[in-house]
Amino acid sequence: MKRTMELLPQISFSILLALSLQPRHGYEIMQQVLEDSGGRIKLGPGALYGSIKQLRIAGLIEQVDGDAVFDRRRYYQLTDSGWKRLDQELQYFRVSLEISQNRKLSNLGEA
Amino acid sequence: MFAFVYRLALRAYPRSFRAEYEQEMLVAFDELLVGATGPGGRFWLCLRSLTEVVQWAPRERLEVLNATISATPGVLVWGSASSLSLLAPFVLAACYRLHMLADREPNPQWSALLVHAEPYYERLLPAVALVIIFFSTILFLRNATMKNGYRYFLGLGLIGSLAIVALV
Repeated sequence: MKRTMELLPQISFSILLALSLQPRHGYEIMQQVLEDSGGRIKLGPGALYGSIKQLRIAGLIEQVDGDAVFDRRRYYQLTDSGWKRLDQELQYFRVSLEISQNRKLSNLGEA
Repeated sequence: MFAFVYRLALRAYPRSFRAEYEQEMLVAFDELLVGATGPGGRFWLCLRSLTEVVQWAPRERLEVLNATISATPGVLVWGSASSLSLLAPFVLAACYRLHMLADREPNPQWSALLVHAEPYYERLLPAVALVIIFFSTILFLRNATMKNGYRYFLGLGLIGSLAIVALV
């Protein structure tokens, strides 16, 4: 029997995607999410760190050891589970995109 | 000034969350402020960030509450007592209102009911409230390292009980 997968919330997925390039600190994550979403997702510190906490608890991201004396910012990176989860999420979106193309839904907004 | 307001707003988060993320959040907010253009931009940034605090801080509070409360008999008893004591002032107010109505438009049935009920809600409820206050205070004094969940319940119980005493 196939196990069901619960999709990540949009913000959490965007954070994972932002961290897929390199380890980043909070402000960089916010900027990357803004860029990745074409300016549609404007994260503030509240939403960002609330989600970061959840992702850390789930073991999907981890803090990177840095020089905390000189830099008050902490860097985060994806864990192995984080990479796996991101891959699963992207696979879901790939399948969804394929289905939408097969059903000729790609130009739905123009109809 | 915006940073000061934001720092104050972060007090809405539970202590454990602030210990872990407050500094980072302030740094990130400062960096966003630097990037915002003009006083209008800073104002909207501040407003948006405060809205996020309103949205996310209660979640964190609830999580802390859920993590610290276990369904032991003591918690269940005190939780129920606290909830009932919070409801009691409203019940009293409703009774009082009915009493006033009954006085204005005498209705033999209502009057008879209230005459019978009056001694109970006037004596029993303050007595219950005083018992709750007594035991809550003892619990507070006995257990200085009480978990947050208990504190919430006991705090609510105390407020409710004091409200009853003040009303009656």
